[in-house]
Amino acid sequence: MDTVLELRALTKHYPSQLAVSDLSLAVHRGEFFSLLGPSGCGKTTTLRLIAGFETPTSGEILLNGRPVTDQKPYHRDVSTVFQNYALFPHLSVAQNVAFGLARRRPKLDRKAITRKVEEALALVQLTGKEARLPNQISGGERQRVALARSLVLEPQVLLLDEPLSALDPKLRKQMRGELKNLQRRTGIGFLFITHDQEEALSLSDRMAVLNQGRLEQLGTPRELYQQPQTRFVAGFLGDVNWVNGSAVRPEALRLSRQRPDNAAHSFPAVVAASIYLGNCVHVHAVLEDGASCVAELPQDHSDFADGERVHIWWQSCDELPIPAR
Amino acid sequence: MRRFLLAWACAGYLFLYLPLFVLALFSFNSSKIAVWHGFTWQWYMDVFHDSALLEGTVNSLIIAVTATIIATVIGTLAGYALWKRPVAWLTNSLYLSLLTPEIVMGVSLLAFYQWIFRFLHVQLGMHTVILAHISFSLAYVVIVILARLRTFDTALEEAALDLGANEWQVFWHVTVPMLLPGIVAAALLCFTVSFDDYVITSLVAGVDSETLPMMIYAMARKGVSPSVNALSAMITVGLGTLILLAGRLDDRGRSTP
Amino acid sequence: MNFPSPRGSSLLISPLAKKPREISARTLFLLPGAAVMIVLFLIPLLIVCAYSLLSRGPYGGVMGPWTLESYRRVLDSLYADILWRSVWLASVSTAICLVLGFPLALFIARAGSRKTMLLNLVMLPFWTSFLIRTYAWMFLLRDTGLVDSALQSLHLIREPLPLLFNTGAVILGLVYGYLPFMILPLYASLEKLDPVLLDAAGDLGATPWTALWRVVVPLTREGMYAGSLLVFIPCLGAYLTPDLMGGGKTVMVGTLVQNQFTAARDWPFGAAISLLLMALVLIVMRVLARRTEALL
Repeated sequence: MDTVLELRALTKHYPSQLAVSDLSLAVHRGEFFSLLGPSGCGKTTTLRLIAGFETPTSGEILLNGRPVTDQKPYHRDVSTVFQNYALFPHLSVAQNVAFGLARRRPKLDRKAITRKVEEALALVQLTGKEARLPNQISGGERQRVALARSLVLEPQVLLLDEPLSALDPKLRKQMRGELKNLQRRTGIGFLFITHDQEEALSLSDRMAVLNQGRLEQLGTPRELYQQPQTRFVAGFLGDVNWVNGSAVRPEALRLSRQRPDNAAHSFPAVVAASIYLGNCVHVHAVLEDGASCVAELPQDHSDFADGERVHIWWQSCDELPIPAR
Repeated sequence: MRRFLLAWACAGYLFLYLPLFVLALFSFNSSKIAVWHGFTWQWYMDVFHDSALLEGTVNSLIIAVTATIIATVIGTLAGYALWKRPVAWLTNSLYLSLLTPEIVMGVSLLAFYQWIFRFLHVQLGMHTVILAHISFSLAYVVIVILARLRTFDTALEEAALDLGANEWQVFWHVTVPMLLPGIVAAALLCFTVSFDDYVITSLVAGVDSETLPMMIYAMARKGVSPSVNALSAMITVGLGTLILLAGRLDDRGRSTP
Repeated sequence: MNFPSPRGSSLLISPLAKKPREISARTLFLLPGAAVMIVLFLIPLLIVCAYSLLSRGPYGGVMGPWTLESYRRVLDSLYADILWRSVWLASVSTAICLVLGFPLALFIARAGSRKTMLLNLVMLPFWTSFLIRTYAWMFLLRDTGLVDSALQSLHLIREPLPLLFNTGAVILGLVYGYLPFMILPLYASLEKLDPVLLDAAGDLGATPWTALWRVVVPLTREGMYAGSLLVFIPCLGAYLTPDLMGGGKTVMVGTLVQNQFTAARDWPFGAAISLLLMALVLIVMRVLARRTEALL
């Protein structure tokens, strides 16, 4: 696999805190890579280090194998899509998109610039809005302008700083699909920063989870969800039940009135509450030792009454391989 | 309580504006004393025919325009740099220059000039006045620019850097265009402060560089003169318009999409 | 190259990284402003300091020897009186501005959508000519001015009232000149006040007047300090107002200094007074500015 961006032992100290600590990872050419983590985990700092707005305390950043750690942002072949898009309010959509092209040396002639701008706008489906100002278009359209502005420069890697967080939920889901499409069509590596695990899981070819400046785990979405290596990763990507020292996800937990014979582990419990969620039911149960757990059951398999005695069980293969405390 | 506040406010605004209105009104009075006699444009005509007054006006304009241009450029650059990283002694000096009584600034500049003139063979004149005006109006410009920059989205500069512009290009192509309404507002402010200055100017002006405020002061000391009324009315309207313009521009520049 | 190396902290939006060959853009930007401040403000002040310690020259100006004579003379009762009178006049004017300005600022802060317009109307006269505004009052108040002429023609008085060229006129001039400077910070402070607090006060049984004294005034203390700062200091060093409105009869520090540098030709003495004035200004600044940190 061809590595386009590599971070080696990247560390960033601020006077008051350690933002990024010994981060090493590689992004492959043409892949959709996500950095996932809660706020304050260092993902935004990492992005700013890669883009060049901050210099690392130690460590290296390599683009196509060449170190860029000392380069200014305007010399690096990466482009950033900012969280609030940072469109230049005094320039039209077309002028915004052309901005980076106009800085290119040797100078591109006007025809070439116009052509590229049109291509970029067509790619994000904004043809016809060239003359509009940023305050005359919608939030979703502004995001597409930001994308076009960066993509038109054909960078090695596109850095996206929580680009969907400023959109309303419905638009967000729609843009997810469009973003994935865009990445596939352009073949440019996307480094996608988010705190939303659903986004990361659904969009990424590979992803990394960060916590307090450190890399917790790196792999495909499936690997991270089904085989989390730390409690943090398991808990961040979904819910985790701890039953008798084993970690099981709610959707893997089964409930039955009779004690199952084919299950390796089963435990008696009492139903505490059933919460109907439309497409499924979350059944809360309390075990004999007082611990509680949640099972996610399809809504037609879930008519348990409060106080009813049940058995909780799961398949061994569904257990998460994280070490108990 | 609302009625009390309303009454008080009316009295307050009356207090602030009445003298000016009365002055403007009596600039049309055909009698020289403060009793209304009839309407006339006489005093306005006198002003335009008074060559000394016109010369004073020209001097004031030259000084104000020159000082404004220079102070605005220097102040914008300094304000931008201070926004990026504050330099304590410079910021404090600027604030101090705002609070220093004009008389102290005036005499200190006079002392400075006299001391310098031992080495250079120069005299007090327009240039000394212009330099003095730049000195005291710089702080105004920096304050206005800093206030505007505080609402500026730094992501815009970062985006420009990211797209390939170096620091100079970012300043010219992104920051300055966005800052322009604020820059113009600062310039207009600078102009009014400079045009109206009496205390400092009177101390550092040479024989051939009498300004309009200096002439008005002299006339005011001598007694009421209707042409002073007419002149005052014109200046008030002129400066007032400039300030309203500055306010409009500042507001427009404030709105960010 | 594969070794990690320690680096400085962020560049660009924070200090530009200094490379030996690169003069940072920041330095170039700061240079003219710094030069103006040093050459045309700080050095002149230093020269005044020096002059205050020298002796009076024969035709004005200064010459050796170095002496503290000027400072001794300043503390002479006559001149100390002038200093105290200036402080007194500035204080009175500030107090009057506070009393006059507070209700006005309150009115504007409660004016809803018209707030900005009303505020601009208050500031507008200030930005026209200070000289002209002072002259306007002279026109109204002098013996041949509007007020006296009107009162005389209505036969309410026989002799013109001495409305000008006295201490009262000076205070009037100072208040008129600097009232907007009191209103602005008061307004800023009042605007920040959450109206919910007044609702709560009313709910707990306070009348509007009680709420004003117990809730509004204490919470706008910062605005009052800021306004006092912005009015007191210019009043202290005022020159035009005591000169024109006071007819030169009311001597304040400002007129005293001006006189020393022109007619009296006693520069060292004038310099000493100027420095004492600056010292007063700095003391007041220290005292009041600390209480207005958040607002400014």
